[in-house]
Amino acid sequence: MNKEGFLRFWEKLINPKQEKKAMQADFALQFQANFANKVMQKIHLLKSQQYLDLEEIKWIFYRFALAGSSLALVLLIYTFIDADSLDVSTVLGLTNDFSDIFLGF
Amino acid sequence: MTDIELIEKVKSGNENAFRILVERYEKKIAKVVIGLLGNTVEAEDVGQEVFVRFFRKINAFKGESSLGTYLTRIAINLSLNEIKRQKRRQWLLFSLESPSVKSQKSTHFNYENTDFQAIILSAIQRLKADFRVVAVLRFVEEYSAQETADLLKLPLGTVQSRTARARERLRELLKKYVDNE
Repeated sequence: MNKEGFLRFWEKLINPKQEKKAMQADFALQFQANFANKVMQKIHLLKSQQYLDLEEIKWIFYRFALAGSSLALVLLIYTFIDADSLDVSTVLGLTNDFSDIFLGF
Repeated sequence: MTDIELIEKVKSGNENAFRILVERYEKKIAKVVIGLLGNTVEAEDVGQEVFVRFFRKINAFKGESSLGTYLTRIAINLSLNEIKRQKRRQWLLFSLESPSVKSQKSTHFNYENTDFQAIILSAIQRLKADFRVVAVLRFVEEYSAQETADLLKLPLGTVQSRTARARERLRELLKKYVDNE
């Protein structure tokens, strides 16, 4: 953008009712020249199931966090309610139940 | 070839049709994403993600709005998510320097006459996210108040008041550059 573009932008700020076309500030905002190639590379990865986007990563993390919380909860309950009955098979069984309920594992 | 025709081709497995759509809309999306995030590496990533997200959900696109509007909406949502992420990161690192201003030093992008554009972008980055979105759509993308309201699903009055406040703040931030002219 040159100085005139900047001044047109400024005009737009101080005089909002000006004719729209007369105010265009010529923004030249663009991505890198090989932008389309990079997108297409990601599409290829996506199609070959090698691409995880942030939402998927967050969801995986969330599931692990829930599974960990479930285990911690079971241990806590058994520690405080009936310490004598705490054994590995019971805890694992209950953790599986929690996982089935919350996570669909 | 129209957008709808290209989308139908993409649905039937034609990747080249998708490339044409990317090339058709990348400048429009760049204006939104770079306007919101600055000229940063993160902006490039978000820009790519906009199109990946579109590709993944291409069957959900019903053509109720234009493709440009649809992609702009995705770009706004992903950019706002990125702004939130940057804020969280900034809070975690106890950094005093704004991430967007810091990233502004990046020279990975091609743009002409960097100075004036960078000055405006830098001023826009200093607006709060809600005002920044409105400023980008109204002043950079040149959408009308009504179009902006429709895009953001906000009442027209809210868009008008945010536009006025963004305009006022930008005037404050940019005044010194005009006075120097």
